[in-house]
Amino acid sequence: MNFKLLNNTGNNINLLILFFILCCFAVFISPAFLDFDNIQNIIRTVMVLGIIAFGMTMVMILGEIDLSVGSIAAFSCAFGGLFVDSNSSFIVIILTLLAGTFCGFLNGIGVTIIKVPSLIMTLGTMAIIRNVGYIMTKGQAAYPTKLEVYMASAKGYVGIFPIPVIIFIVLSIICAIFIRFSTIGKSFYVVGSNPVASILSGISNNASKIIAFTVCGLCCSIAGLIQSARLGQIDPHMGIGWELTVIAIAVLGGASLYGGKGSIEGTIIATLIIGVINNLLNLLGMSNHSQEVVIAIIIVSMVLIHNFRKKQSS
Amino acid sequence: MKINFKQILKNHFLLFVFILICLVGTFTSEYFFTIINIQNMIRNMAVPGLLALGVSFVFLVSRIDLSVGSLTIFGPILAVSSLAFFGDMFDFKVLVRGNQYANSAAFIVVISLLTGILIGLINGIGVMYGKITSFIMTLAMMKALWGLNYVLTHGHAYYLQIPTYTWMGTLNLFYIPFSTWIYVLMTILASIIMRYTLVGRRIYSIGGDEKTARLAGINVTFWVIIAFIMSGFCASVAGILFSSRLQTVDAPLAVGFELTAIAFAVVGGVSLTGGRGSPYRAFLGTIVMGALFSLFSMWGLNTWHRNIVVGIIIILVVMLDQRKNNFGRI
Amino acid sequence: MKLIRNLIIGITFLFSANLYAADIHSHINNLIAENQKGWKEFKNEELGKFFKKDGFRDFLDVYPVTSLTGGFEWKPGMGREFEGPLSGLPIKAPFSDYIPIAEGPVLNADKTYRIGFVYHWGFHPWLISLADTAVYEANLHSNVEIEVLDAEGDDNKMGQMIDDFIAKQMDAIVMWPAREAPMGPPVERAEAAGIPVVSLDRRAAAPNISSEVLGNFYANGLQQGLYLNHVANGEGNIVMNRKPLGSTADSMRSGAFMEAIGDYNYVISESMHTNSSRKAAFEATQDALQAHDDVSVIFNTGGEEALGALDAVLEANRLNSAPGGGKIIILVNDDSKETVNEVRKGNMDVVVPYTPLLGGIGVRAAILHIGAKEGLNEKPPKQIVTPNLPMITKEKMVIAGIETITPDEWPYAYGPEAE
Repeated sequence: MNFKLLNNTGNNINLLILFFILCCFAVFISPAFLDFDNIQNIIRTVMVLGIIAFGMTMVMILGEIDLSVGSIAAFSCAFGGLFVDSNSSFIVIILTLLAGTFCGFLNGIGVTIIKVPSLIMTLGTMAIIRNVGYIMTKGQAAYPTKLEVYMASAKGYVGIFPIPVIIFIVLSIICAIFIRFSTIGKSFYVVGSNPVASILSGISNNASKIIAFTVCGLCCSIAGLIQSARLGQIDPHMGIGWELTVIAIAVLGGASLYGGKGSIEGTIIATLIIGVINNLLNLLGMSNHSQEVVIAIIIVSMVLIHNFRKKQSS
Repeated sequence: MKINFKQILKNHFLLFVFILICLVGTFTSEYFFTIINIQNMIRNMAVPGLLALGVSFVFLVSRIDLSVGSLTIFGPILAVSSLAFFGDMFDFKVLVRGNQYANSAAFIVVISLLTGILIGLINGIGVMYGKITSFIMTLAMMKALWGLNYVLTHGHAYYLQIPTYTWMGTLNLFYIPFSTWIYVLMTILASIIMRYTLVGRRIYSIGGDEKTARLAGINVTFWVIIAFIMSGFCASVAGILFSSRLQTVDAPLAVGFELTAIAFAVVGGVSLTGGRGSPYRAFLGTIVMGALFSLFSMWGLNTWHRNIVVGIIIILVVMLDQRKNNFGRI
Repeated sequence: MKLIRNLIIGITFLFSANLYAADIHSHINNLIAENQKGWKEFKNEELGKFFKKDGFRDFLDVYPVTSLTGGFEWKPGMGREFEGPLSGLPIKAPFSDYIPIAEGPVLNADKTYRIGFVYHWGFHPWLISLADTAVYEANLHSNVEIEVLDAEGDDNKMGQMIDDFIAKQMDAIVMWPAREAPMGPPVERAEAAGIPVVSLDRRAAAPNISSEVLGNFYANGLQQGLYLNHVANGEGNIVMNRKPLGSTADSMRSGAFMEAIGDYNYVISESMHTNSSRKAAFEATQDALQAHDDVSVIFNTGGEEALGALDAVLEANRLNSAPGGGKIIILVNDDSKETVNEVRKGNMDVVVPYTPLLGGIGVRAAILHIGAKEGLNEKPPKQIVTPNLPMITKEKMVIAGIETITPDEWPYAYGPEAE
């Protein structure tokens, strides 16, 4: 069985080149760009979506999609937030992660056992999960400012390195190793590109999908947790509109909606690219809304260039 | 001729669901079966229904169109702001008192429709010639239009209170709101096109099996672009009806309309992988969800509970429909 | 005509300002009149240009600055304490004695009166407190039922909800419109169907609306400006976190602020629209701090924005990075428990209250309108202003004759406990 896992390398090189060009451009526009503080800020801001993008990439490699990521982030944090009064960071953090994992698991079951297409399943859970969160919290935010470990996940430092950056790097490495080297991870590509063959070869499609969705849910809760810690507020309303941006990041990183393609490395670079672009546009004083237009144009251009180069090489 | 009730029930299942919801509404609320409420219900269906209709064309050729929400208000916004721009240049009055539109209604209608067609064309070109996945292409278009809406309006609303425009939002012909008439007529027109003309045959062939269609000599590129244009056109009609009812256009409006449109079409039974579905199916999905929304309003159901029930229903309906269709992947 | 009207109001206030204005409401109204620039140019040209660009004049001119209904005088300390029916939080509502209606059945005791209440974003602390006071008021009267609906930021949905209220023949509608323009037609339809509509806080573009309960936007922006003049000696680089362009909330506060500081040497470094979002304000402020290293003032038109901005300042360790090593002055409105606490801690410099606890006034006004229709009482006025509230600072100060209130003296802060 021959499957082209390495198509991603070509794409990733393109992305690295783009990233490099963007950074040069940014330094030219604003020398402050290379400040340690600024770089920290970029990573801190974009890592929330980036962590979710790891989970989304796995789901997309399998040929599925998850629209409920924002809702899972909001719900899992809101659920954990109900226990802030216990004064224990660990209880709150564990419950948050468990809630997110559970939601992802539900999505997985819906898509595999109940056989609802993932677009519909996650469209439905997007509404259900978020509103259950609202009802549970009566719509009110919780404030974890007294929970030291919780807050440290976004505000803490190990030496000169901010903890959120460390979390991001560690997660990237874990996910990348999982996808590239573990049996389960590698099987995602098979399931995604050739479901029939994968059944014949004994890899369970259902198990892969359930695992991917569950991991995605876990990623959502981690991302939501860091976001909440950063703002000092657990807001049940967070995450609206995240799903489309995360999908855009994953696709920019090489994932395809038809499955079988994508890589964590690509997603990492794509995340950084989006972060740099956002920062650049802010430094240029562009309003939020003009930024949307620019980012849309950039995404389309990236895909066009990628397609053009693919055509040239084939 | 023997009437096969079981077959009728199966084929028009959602129609019976609709009737059931209306019956439940009539018996549980004294206000459901009043002229005002029925008018509200069918008027509220028009805009999302048109969007679902447009999106279903794109579904039938195995693509997706996420730009319909932003496109809905982009048409009127582009019309008003471009006319204001030329008004400043050539010195004729377009806006009075800052943001009240005081020029021709026909202009807004024409420009909106042309805009819808143009955006649909761009989407189609991007997908077929640029080989960009429709999800990404229309997502980018959605974001671009969303941003442009803000840039063109500078964050202000435009009041469209000219009587020659707002009559569309208030007129009732034989008690049925004008928007509903437009929606039903366009659905009937679309059904005729899909069932009896070349357009329909081509679209179904492509949706059924694109590779085979291409090998058979069908110009797939052309017909997919047509599908996107039809979607854009429906969105612009929806936009005209929407803005004439609200009597304003404002950038933050119409958020999330594309997901609603997709939900309505899918609930009706339009398949995401193409080839299965029809304007009638989109219509069925719309009336069922529309009746459901009206029922919840009459019951005074809390917004959060409402959203949860809607989410559950979307999943349930598709789950039950799965027995018949095989949706497959996106 | 407008000029003459302004002149008359101005002169009247000037005369009454010479009399001892014992109550805070009239005193602040006097200050507003004093600072109104009309069409006079600002002494600071740049600020003048900025003022013109965003069109504040149109909003400021039409905003009512009048005395309280029924000659009511408000003093700090008045009001009722209760538990919010929707949020479960403890509330002390300052205006429960304004336009009072006795507890118990109202109007015709044999009839049940149904009020439709529609607003947005029930997860926002300000807005759920608004709904809390409305529901509490309705619960005080056994023959009043209230239905609370959240339109989740969708103006079209709010319009449809109002249409549904019309179909259900509600007796009155109380609403919080996010934006003026789209809410005009539905309100007009309701009024045409004989259902009185009362708007809270923000306005709807409906000339036939029965009543508008107006908050003190003007007093917010003005007091933030007066405070700044008092502590900053007329100089500073200002970053602005604003609400959506074109909304009453933004234009009134920013406009009034500009009027107060317009003649001095301030520079607007950034003007950003962060739309009540803590996250957006956080990110925008972060970028603003990055782009300008001489920021000395952050002006916020909302509590959530201010908290996001403060988080950004603290994360970047820039709290004391104003030119000369001083503290960045943070100006806030919205007296949530969180922001008031930040004043207590010394992070935020001044909080001008913008209380959401107005829902009760709206419900009472609605009940009175129903009563007027049934011939049982007089109609309440169309424009119901709420008492101007004095600013909150860490230490007691006197600024332009206003005695400020310290955090411990302010019992009306809304929302959940922060620390």
